[in-house]
Amino acid sequence: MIRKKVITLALSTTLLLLIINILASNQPSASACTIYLGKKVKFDMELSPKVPLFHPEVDGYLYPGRPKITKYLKLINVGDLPFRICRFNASFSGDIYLATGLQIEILELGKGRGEKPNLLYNGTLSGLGEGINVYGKRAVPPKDSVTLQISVWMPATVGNEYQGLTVTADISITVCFPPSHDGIKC
Amino acid sequence: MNRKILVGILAIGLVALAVGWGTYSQFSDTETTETIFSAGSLDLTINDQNGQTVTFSWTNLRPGNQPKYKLTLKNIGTIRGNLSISNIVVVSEENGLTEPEIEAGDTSDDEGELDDVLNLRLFLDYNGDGWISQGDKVFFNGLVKNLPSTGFDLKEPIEPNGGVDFVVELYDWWQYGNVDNQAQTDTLSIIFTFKLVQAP
Repeated sequence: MIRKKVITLALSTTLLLLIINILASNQPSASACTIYLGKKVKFDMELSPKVPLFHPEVDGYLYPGRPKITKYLKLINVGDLPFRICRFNASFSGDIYLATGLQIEILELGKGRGEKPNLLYNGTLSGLGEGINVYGKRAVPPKDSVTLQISVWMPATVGNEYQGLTVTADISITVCFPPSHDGIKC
Repeated sequence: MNRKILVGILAIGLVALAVGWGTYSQFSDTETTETIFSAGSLDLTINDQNGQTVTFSWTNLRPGNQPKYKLTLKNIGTIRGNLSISNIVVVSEENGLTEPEIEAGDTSDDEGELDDVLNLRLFLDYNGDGWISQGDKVFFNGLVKNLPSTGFDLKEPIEPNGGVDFVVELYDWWQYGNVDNQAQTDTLSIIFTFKLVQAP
C-alpha cells in the first residue's frame, strides 16, 4: 500500500516536471546576459540604421504603379552567440487601412556576391501584423551582420481609397538561437 | 527501498527537465525599426472649389458677342497629375419660336441653333492674360456643335499646388445669314468635366 503511494507520488512529480518542461519550451528566454552552459553570455542584435527606414519626407509619396522603394537594414550581431532571423512582426498606427494596400518584400541578402538572396516575406504590409515565422538562411556569427533588402510599393491596381493616407509601421525583427534547430523553425 | 525508488524517479525527472530545457528553449532578441508610409493624393479644384464639372450657360447672346470665361484649375494634392477634359455635354435649347426665327426658316421646337452658329476657342492660358499668346495651348477652335463629347486628353501636367488657367472664348457669330436669326432667344449650355489623373 505504502509502496503504491510512493510510486504514485513519484509519477506525479515526474509528470509535473514534464509539464513545466513543456511550458518552458514555449517561452523565449531573456535576450541578454543569459546563463548558457554555465557561462554568462550575451545574446544581442542591433539594427542599422536606427532612423526610420522609410519616411515620406525622404522617399516621397506612394501611388499606384510607382516603382518600388528599396531600403537596406543591417542586423548586427553584438552578442556572443550566432543567430538566425526567425520572425517578423509589425504594429501599426495612423491610417491602418493603408497597410492593406501596400506590398512589402523582404530578402535576406547573401554574404558573397554570387549568393542568391533568400526571400523571407512577400505580401501585404498588413500581413506582417499577425506576425510570421521565417527561417533565415544564414547563421550570423558574433560581430558579423546580415542585411535585409526591404522593398515597398503600391500596386498599379489599387484605387482612390488609399489617397492621402499615412500609416506608421513598427516592423520588429526577431533573431533566435540556436541558429539551426532540428526541423523546427524558431 | 521506497525512498530509493522515489529519489531515482525524481532524478530521472530532473534530468528530463534539464535535457528538455536545453532542447526546446531558445534565446531570442527582437529589435524594431520604424517606417512611415504616406500615399499621395490628387485633388482638383476649379476656382478654388471642389468639384469636377463646370457648366457654362449663355443667354441673350447676339452676333458680335465675344464672351470669355476663365477658370483656374489647381492640383491641391501631393503628387503630380495630368489634366484632361473627360467629357463635354452641349445642351442647345430653342426656348420657343419667335417670329424672326420662323421667318428665318426655324421649324424646330426643341433644338436650338446657337451651337450651329457660335464658334468656340478653348485654350490653356499659360501667362494668364486671358488671350491667346505665344506658347498657350489652343486645343479647340471651331463650331460648338463640333465639340467632341469624349473631351480632350490634354496631358497637361500639374504639379502639387500648381495650377493652370483654362479659357473658354465664344466668337465669330455673324456670317451665317438667316441661320443667325434662327438662333434668336436660344440658350446654350456647355458642361465640361475635368479630370486629374496621376502622372507617370
